[in-house]
Amino acid sequence: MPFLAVSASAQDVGTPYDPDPLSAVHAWALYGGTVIGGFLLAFLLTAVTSRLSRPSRYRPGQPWEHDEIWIGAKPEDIEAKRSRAAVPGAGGASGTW
Amino acid sequence: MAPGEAFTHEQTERIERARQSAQTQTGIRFAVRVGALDGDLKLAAERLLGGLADPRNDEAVLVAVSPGQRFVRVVTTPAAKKRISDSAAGLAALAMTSSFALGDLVGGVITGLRQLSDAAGAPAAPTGSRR
Repeated sequence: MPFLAVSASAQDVGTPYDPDPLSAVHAWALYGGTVIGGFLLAFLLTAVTSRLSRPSRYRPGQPWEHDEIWIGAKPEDIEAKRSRAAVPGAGGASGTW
Repeated sequence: MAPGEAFTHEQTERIERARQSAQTQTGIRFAVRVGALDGDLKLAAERLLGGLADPRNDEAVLVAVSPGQRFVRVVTTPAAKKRISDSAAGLAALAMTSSFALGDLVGGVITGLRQLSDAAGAPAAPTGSRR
């Protein structure tokens, strides 16, 4: 330890005024900017990844460019091959929005 | 919007649970299809149901939703029509379109399935169980 103390000259260690203290603007930019920049980075990363991983919300009027989705049995899953003809006497109702 | 999956796994699960519940409560086979319909929209939906069920014997209901065409069709086989009247299907379609117009596809389908199962009621008890 004494060896290290001796080897470091006074010029290397400096004084409280050398190097010059940070200006207020510089200090705020350094410390405040780091914190705000970190939050911004985290926010951007969250926004980008959530947008990529989740289907965007349906908005009426927008084109629908997805593959068809079946919930329940698909016609292809039914063992008995049925003709894809309209069911005679079928009932039901329609709606538009 | 990228092509491919329209719903998250969780959303698909919610619709599947509602469909299963409707099926269990009524004994009617329910299916939901979300996607574009070709040509005559009503006829296309009826053809899809024709591929799913035997029209003479099966009680089956298909809810066909085409978000791009802003169209929904509830189709019932003749056997299911005896339990879900066209007016009940119309009310379910109305409830669904109300949600769809607000951008809630999943909620609309679930509401529609619940209304259809409520309209159908429980399956008729087998004749052997009557006292």
